[in-house]
Amino acid sequence: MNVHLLFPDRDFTVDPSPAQRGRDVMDDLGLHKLLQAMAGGNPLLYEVARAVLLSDGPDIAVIRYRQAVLEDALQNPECLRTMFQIAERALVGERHWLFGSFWSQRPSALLHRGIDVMEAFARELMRLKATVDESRHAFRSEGLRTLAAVLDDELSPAFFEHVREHLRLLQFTEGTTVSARLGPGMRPTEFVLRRPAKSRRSWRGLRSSRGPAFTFTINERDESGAQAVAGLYNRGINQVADVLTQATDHVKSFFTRLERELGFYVACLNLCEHLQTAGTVWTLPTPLDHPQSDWRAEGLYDPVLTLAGRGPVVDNDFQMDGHDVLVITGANQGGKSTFLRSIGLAQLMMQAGMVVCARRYEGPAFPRLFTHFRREEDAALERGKLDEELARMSQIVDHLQPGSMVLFNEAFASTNEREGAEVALQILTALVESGIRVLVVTHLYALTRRLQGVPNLHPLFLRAERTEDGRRTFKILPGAPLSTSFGPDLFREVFYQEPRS
Amino acid sequence: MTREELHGDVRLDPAWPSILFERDEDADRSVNPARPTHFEDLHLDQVIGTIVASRPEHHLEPFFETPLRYTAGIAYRQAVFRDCENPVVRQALDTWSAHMRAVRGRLEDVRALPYRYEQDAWFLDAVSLYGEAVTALRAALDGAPIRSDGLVGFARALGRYADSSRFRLLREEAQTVRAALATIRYSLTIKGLKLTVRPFEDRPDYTAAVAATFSKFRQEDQNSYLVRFADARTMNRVEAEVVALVAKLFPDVFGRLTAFSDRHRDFLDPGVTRFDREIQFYLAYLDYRDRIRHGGLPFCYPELVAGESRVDVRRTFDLALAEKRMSETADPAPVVPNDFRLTPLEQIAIITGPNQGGKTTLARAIGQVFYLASLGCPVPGESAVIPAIDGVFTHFERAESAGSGRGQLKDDLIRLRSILDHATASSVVILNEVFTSTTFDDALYLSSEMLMRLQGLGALVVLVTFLVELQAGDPKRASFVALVDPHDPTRRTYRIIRNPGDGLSYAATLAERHRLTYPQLRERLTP
Repeated sequence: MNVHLLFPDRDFTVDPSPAQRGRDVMDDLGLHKLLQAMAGGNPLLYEVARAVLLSDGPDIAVIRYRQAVLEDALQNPECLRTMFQIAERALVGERHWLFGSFWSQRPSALLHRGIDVMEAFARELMRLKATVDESRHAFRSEGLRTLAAVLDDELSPAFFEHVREHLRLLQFTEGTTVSARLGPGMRPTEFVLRRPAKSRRSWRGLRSSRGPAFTFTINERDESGAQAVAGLYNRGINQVADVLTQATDHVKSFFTRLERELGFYVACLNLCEHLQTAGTVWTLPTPLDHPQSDWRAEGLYDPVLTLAGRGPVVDNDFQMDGHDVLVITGANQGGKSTFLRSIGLAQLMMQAGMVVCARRYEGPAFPRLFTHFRREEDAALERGKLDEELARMSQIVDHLQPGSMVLFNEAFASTNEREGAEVALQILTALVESGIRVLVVTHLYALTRRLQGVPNLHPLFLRAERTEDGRRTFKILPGAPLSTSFGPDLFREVFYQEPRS
Repeated sequence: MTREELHGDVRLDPAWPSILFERDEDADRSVNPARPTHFEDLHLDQVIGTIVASRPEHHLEPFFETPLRYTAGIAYRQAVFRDCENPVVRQALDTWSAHMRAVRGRLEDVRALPYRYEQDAWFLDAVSLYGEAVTALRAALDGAPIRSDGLVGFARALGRYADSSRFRLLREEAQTVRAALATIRYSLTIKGLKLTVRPFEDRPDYTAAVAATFSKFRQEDQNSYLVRFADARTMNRVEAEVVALVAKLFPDVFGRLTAFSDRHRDFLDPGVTRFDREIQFYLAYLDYRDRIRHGGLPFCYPELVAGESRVDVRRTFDLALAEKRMSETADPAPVVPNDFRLTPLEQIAIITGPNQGGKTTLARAIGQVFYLASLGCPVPGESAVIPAIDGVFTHFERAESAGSGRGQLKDDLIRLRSILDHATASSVVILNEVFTSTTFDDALYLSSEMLMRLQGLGALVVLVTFLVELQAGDPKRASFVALVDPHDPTRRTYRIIRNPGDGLSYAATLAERHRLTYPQLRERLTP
């Protein structure tokens, strides 16, 4: 039974240990805050959202598939949340039965557990079916309509009746009958469990037709004999205990997938509620088919700043106009990094199928997104730092695919400007010529000057605005790089301004 | 059918003696041999110990401790080895060995187990397995490309045995009883402590019914919760009880089984079991060799030249060291192979060089080549041309007895004297750091004396020594030296040979090292 709410044709799997790339993207884009808002205190939602956001970007059909489910979720939030809670409850119940050596060594114990767990699962499956039946008329998305149809087909009244009967027969109130052969060393072997009789009466009826029968009984005080009988019984029900336990695994797997995939949409609902509370806008973005298509945003802002509750944040517009490279320069503390982050987050969120923090967003889908941000923490080791930056870069190169996107923030600035610019120029040129999209925040003027001289590169230059009086507006506007950064301003601000009282 | 025909004495041809010994004489010597005295010095105790440990039940030590005295015997074994190298033959013999191991296991069960029906069952199993083993080996050898006198002779004798009516009837009877037992099905009902056995009745398979109900949830990857029941070989009391009831349901089949095991107690042929043990010599050695060879080290069949002292061994190495390296780590440091050559004129090899430079290792390797060659085995190395010899004598400085003074020196001399007494012009003598317990002058004097005597005797000598003076100008002496790295004299290369007597910036360099320059990146990013 498939859930398939994230992909039309397959399950979503969570990679429990994110690659280095995932960790870098998490840190560099400040994803943790966003995930916290999505999780609303539920670690599972945090994990699912993280995994979806950090997965390789799916193709556009998948993005649209998820967007449709998300629209249904936004229209029927209570139904989605109830379905999610049913899955959660089913799984919590199952977790009471911990597997240990005790269960796994005795088929009789496995069978006992299997009966109890399956009873509880059957209850929750019935509830799930009822909940979906209530709202299915409102579903518009392929994902949820298909799921409703699957539940309809598979969870029929007849199915539930069968489950009830099995769980009763497996109590073996009239004894356990197996067929057997003589195995190696004459030991009884090839036990095949035969359908138990339903009642004492039919049992008697059958027995009369069975021909000769030989019987013996173990004395009640004969402990080793009783153990040996238990051994035969356990071998007889070994397979059915296995099958039933596997069935509980499979139903559990269904609930796990359901919980996980619904969890993503519940997390999206949580995020939208947070943004609504903060009074900011969001939009369902338009994924673009062609990588060269017009990539543009209006009113783009960084949700991480919003969620941190720092009051109203400045939003920005941009339009790539077919450029392959975006270079952002300008004043320190002028909003460059925030802008770069907001683009990175918008891309990740769009590719995950989520809403985007902007008034309007249209962007191409990249297979992978990488970040290479300057690390402040190990500033003490100046000599080792360039080495570390280059090592990180090399790891990124190992995982690049054509069409990937790399965000650079003040990369290769840990050596002198001339050398840093030389190294960065070679890397950026090679990446762009290999079909990689590159977004760069830099204050290496030598680099920006030389980038303009590379044939066929055509970078788009944006600049953090600074007013005549040196004030920053945090607006990022088209503009060629200026030969100086604004360090002196900052220095002045910190050292010469009167402290505000 | 007469009793004669059933129990007639058609056995594996007694005229066909042995897969190991071309002559009975060598076979007799191998009954209870004395372990050669050089075993510890050459670390052959470790090598042979490892080899025989793979098949303890066959007690192969005596075979490995009996060097052959005739090149014909060596050639006989080399030919069998070459046949065994063929994957088809090797596979057939490995299968055979596994079969026979199983047969022995079954027969042990028969002796050890308490219930008559299970004894009979295992006995029947043993007979069937033996029959299969013989038939399968016979079929495999019939079609196999074997050329050695040993295996061709055995295959012929085995063919006659397998075709004998005694063997065929044994198989057929076993087959019939097995088939009858295999058809038995019964029904067992357990209710509390009461067990009921009935003839088989075909009610629906309930496990399948449960599986069908839940199949809609089925996933591709799934755990198995089938419990593996320990010790499936022996029957408990209750099972014996159940089987006794089954025997009541099928008295005829069980009666035939009991009669069968009473009649065929001595079904194993002594000639066949002898082959089974002796062939393990080859298989055990080849298994061992394959493991070492897997690490990239070569083996070859030595060419034994009688009456000439030319030695030409290429890329040989110390087996014990290679084995040790491989067993200690998954990715062992390679053992360095070395060449060892002496012209027909040269008789004494003198190896000098720094400590821990691989001198002793090479001396050991040479000794191993000579000894293993005398067993008829493939030897470590890419190729080996060596004289046929009558024995290997060694004297190695022993760490545990490296005391000083007269006692030690005297012991050394006594042992050397003994070597001189027993060695001949056809012997190999390997001396490693003798006379270290005395003064330099004494050592030089004593060593020169020893060498003169050995030279006079005509034995082939390998001498490891720090006394470079011993190398001085004698055409019968060849000197070897352990090499050091010319750039770093503290580094050992373990190679032993015949003695012959930028203008980039820091950042750009770093980028290049990380393969991040423009051309490097373009190459890395080209799919």
